[in-house]
Amino acid sequence: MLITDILLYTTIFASVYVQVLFLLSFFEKKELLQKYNLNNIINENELPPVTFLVPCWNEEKTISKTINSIKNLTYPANKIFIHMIDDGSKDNTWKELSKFSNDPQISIFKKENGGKFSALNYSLPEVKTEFVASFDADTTINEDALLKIISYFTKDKDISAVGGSILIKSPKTMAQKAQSVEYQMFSFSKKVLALLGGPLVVPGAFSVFKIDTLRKVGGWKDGHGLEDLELTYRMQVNGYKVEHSHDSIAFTTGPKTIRNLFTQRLRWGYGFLKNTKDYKSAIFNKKFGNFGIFTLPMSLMSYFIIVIVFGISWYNIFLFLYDKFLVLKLLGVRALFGHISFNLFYFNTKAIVFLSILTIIFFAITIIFGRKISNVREKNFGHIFYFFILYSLIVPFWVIKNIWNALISNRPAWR
Amino acid sequence: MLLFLIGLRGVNFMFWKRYLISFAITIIFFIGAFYLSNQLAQKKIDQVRVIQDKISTDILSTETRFILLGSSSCKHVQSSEEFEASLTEELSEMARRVKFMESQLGYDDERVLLIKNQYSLFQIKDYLLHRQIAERCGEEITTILSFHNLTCSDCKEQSIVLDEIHNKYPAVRIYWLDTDSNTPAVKTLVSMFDVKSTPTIVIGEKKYEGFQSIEVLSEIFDNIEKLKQKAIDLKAKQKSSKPTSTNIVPTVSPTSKNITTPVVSDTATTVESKTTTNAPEVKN
Repeated sequence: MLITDILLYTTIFASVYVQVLFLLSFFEKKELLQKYNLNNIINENELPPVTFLVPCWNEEKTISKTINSIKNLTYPANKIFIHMIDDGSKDNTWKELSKFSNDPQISIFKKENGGKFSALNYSLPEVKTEFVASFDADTTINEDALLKIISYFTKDKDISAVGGSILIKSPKTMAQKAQSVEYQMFSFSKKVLALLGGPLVVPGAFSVFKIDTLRKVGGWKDGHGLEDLELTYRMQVNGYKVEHSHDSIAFTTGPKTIRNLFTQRLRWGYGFLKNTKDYKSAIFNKKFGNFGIFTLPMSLMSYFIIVIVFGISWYNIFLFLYDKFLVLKLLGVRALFGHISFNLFYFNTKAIVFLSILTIIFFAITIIFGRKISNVREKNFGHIFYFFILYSLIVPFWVIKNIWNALISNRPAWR
Repeated sequence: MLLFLIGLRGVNFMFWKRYLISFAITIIFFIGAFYLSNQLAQKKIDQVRVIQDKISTDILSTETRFILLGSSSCKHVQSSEEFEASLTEELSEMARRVKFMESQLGYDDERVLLIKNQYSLFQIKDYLLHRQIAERCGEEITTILSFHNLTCSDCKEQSIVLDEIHNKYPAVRIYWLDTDSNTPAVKTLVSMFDVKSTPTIVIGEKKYEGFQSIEVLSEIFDNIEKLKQKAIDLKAKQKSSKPTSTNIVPTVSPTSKNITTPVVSDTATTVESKTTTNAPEVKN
């Protein structure tokens, strides 16, 4: 066996293993999905008040939409407070925010630019409610999302934070269509990790925290540009329970262009690798349960799996194209199109082929379950095509760039 | 794997149960994939064997014809064009399949090696028989011996060109010989033609060292085809006028022929020289 074969089979083994573990855990704990549903909700009077923290940085266009979306929540209006924090915007964000200065539900804050984490921390001392929600200024939310997320806290007093499920809002560009599928997959994997008791991240776009816990662990930190991931790590390492509400749906726009998507992922990858390095003592540490034993090592490993799988796929594509090039060079254009015969004998029947098909089936199942638990109804299956094409082309690039950036501590720009 | 090892060390079995079960399921998937792959490979090998049996029978037929030559004259033991064409096709199909199985199972797989070995021997036997029949009766099949091996740099290019030659001139019989092969017969052929480097191809009995482009080979075969056509036409004309002189190359007498020791040192009688000398000869 060649060295590439050994490498390929090892990585395929690892990824099949992870996928099997995901599905197994999902089916094993499936009944828990029902545990926190709306039928269990307590009566309206017992609902706790919640403060939304919305950091804004050059968001003049989306602010009113975001505020409306929060106000439209199926939740008593007197129990919702909104903190809009202008993090030193250069556009008319402050002017737009000022329009809401008389709204009793809304408090507006203005500060020097200091990053998202500093904006979140800025109004934290002003929060008077038991629960606080972090919310992105370019995000909208389903009406029942807060009710569902709060039901986790009322059912289980040990829970300190619950992340919402994030989907892409009416995707238009190719990059957004591809992301919409990716987010559906995230929805599934986030749920499974939460069922195992070790989510990777509660998304900054929409998550709810107990203010007590937040104050105890010291609020948000820069976290190498990924304040939500860092906070999720820190809470779990300190023994706080973190959950994921799969049907509390918030919609984010997602980068429109491939270039912007790439930049976003450079930021995510850098933040992920650097934060994981900061918390490396938790990796394979049974003290932190499945978060230490599975979530961290698996997430880290998937990075290298991606590089190897795509690396080898590309190598094979290169070999195939090189063969075609040779035919072109030696025999001319006409020979490229002649003599195509379909004989079953010449089908590749190496074990790797069957294992790859298995992996693709697992991917499909992940997408199907992700859609199901997040109640995605649009039948835009064409997006899956975009997802596979686009991601297989650019993921290895950003993963390699991420590893490189993390190694030389070159922090990528925010946008 | 690491998870598994840590798993074994763990005290709390319930905690590790999920990891162990997943590991077991993954192993089952892997065993299944390898089993399926192996079964299909075996099926393909069996298919190749069927073709091999056909080739074997065809070569036996050629051999029998050659033996018959000892007691009968050339015109009584003529081969049919269809027979030779189908054998050429079978040999080329075989070559393609052996090449494919090499890529599927690896060059050092025992089953592949065995098939390749037998295939090499069939080729050599067929080649030698035809050379002798040609010498005796002038009944000519244009042949290419392609000497190649895994490590040679231009062999891939050469094989692409030769595949195209096969498509262009279906009657040309190509024999693929791996110079790294341990088969003694292949080694004999390598030393017979004094092959020092790869790729080397031998057309008829003329040796060409190094890569030969499609243009060069096409020219050679166009000439041969043309000459052959000319020779056949003239032969037909001659037959009608002088029916007795059908032997074009009256070389060795039938009784002195020995099947197992082919005459190879005499490279003067190449296909080209034969055909070129034949053409003026019949003009007289």
